[in-house]
Amino acid sequence: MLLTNVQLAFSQTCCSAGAPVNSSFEIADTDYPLLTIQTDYNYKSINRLVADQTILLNHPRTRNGHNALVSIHYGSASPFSFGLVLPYIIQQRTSFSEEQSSFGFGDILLLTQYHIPTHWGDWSLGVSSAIKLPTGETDNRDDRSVVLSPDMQSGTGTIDIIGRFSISKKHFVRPNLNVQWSSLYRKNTTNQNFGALKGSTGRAFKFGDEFESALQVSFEMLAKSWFVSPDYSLIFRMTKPNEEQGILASNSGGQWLSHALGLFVKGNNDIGLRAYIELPIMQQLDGLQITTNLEFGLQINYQINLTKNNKNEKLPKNILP
Amino acid sequence: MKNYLKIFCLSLVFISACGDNRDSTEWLVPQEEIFDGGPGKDGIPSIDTPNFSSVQDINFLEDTDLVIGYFNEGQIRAYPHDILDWHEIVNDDIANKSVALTYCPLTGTAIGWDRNVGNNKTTFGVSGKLYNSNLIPYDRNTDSYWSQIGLNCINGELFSTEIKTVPLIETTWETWKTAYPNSMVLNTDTGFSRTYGVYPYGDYITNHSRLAFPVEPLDDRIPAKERVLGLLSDAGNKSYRLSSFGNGKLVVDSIGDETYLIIGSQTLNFIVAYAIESDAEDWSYDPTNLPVIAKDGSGNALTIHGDIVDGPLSETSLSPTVSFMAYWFSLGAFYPGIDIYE
Repeated sequence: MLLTNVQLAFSQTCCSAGAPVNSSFEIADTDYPLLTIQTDYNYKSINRLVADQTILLNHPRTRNGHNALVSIHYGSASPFSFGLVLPYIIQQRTSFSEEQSSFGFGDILLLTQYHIPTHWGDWSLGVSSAIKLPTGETDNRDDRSVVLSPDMQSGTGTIDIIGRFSISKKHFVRPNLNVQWSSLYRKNTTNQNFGALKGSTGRAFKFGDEFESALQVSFEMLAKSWFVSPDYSLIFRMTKPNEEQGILASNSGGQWLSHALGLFVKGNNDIGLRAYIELPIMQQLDGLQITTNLEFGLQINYQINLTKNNKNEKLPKNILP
Repeated sequence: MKNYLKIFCLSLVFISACGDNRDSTEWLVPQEEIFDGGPGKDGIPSIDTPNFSSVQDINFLEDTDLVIGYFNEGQIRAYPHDILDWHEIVNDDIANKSVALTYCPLTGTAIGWDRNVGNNKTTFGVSGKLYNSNLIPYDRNTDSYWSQIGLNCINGELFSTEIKTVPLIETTWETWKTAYPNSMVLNTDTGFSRTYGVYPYGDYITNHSRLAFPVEPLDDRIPAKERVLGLLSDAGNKSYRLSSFGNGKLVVDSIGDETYLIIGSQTLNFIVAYAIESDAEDWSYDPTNLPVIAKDGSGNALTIHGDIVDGPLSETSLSPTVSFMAYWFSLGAFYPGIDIYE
């Protein structure tokens, strides 16, 4: 039985240059060779101005981010599975006098997942690791040929490492309520030559390391021939301050608590569709920052059974009508 | 008639050729030293309709907070750092003068600019770009970009045009209140929602190792964030360390053939510089009756802002200079090898 109710979430609240952190991290557990091709679209409105915990009137600037991902996952009967994520990033920054945007391919993510064998029935454990490669654009410029700030770039120019752990239980409350808890840590490195031109040294910049933990509850049901699974998630994020020229930067870093509602549907074919919306609950930020006030996303995944007899299970088992 | 027509047509061609054809990517300074600060153009909003309160009605300042003072035609105004840290530019009209009070928190430089540029009055905004870690304002008439410390246009239609400055003084709120109790002070009714009074850059002011952007060259003769007065003249440039003025001192100094009167006090937290005719003038430091800070043997009394208020020269003023307070590293970067008064 295969379900890919992949949670899509971005850890960096603002201006996540490079690949999104927690996106497409879950590779489905499968008993046969399975190739999953997944496309994601994510939109972030980053327009809440916060000083520590106080929400201020955000004027006069706005920030929006669009991300599109193509992910390819491969799983089999082996506990190891693999994935490749290729993002495309669009950033927009506006004020009453300027509309600035940048776009380009982001940093590629290579990930490996290990499903820890358990004998605990419906429990599932997994550990993942990923390496983010500096393949994305870091030279987006404005109309005066000035290199845009790091948060307006598609890539980061750095190799970063990500580790993730997840534990889930299907039928947590029988017959069709599932629960999953996952935690992720991203270790970033420093781009020593950001914005370097014509042999100049540029600027040393590092995005702050991130930690994210999410608890998701999902409900499965059948509606005629459609598999439908709404889910609710509670998400905690913490980032360290960015570093500029080797020194912690003011007005960066903090802690966020948000929640998300999602809906996954799958028909009598190999295509699954998920949509979600995420809203902030509270935040405790270092200094004055703009932060995400709304996020939503769409995901389409297509599964290809690579076994020779090509038997596909169209609908999940053990789901009561 | 045909000749006049030819001349007219040629004139049109000539005028169009002389128009603004400058490449927007052309910079007067090394482009690789220009950085995008992050907020974007006007992401740090200038104050274009400032509101003022009397000294007695200001309750958000501590005695040690710094303010910038400007004087014109008997009108005296103060602009607190607590507000300038969040807006960096105030476009103001004081009597017959239109002034942009520009302040860069990263270089600690408050410089007054005449808003009449090329016979047109403009307002200035924050471009969001930095050169050598210093504010780059832009003028809203032509969208040209300017270097605050360089005092010139570095990109755009007004390429290489020099800005005219107006004299400012910088001191603490305590000194200001004592010297100018009847002045008007920029208040927090700015139209924007900001946490005035909370310094936005952490330990930046006191951490000499912390520079947010590359600076070239980095002159380490003095600790980076030490406050100094930069005095610019056609004959050369010189810096004066606030720390060398102790409880108060008056210095007569020369740069080339020009003679200057430098008066300062670390205790009262100010340094001012005025051009004088010669070193024969016998001024002596005397802050007992602020804003008067010096007196001479003839009974003339000189105020912080350069007016002579007593004595035979009463109602005259000493000549202002192009001078401003700054963190040392910025002067070392913009004026490499600048002399340091010892």
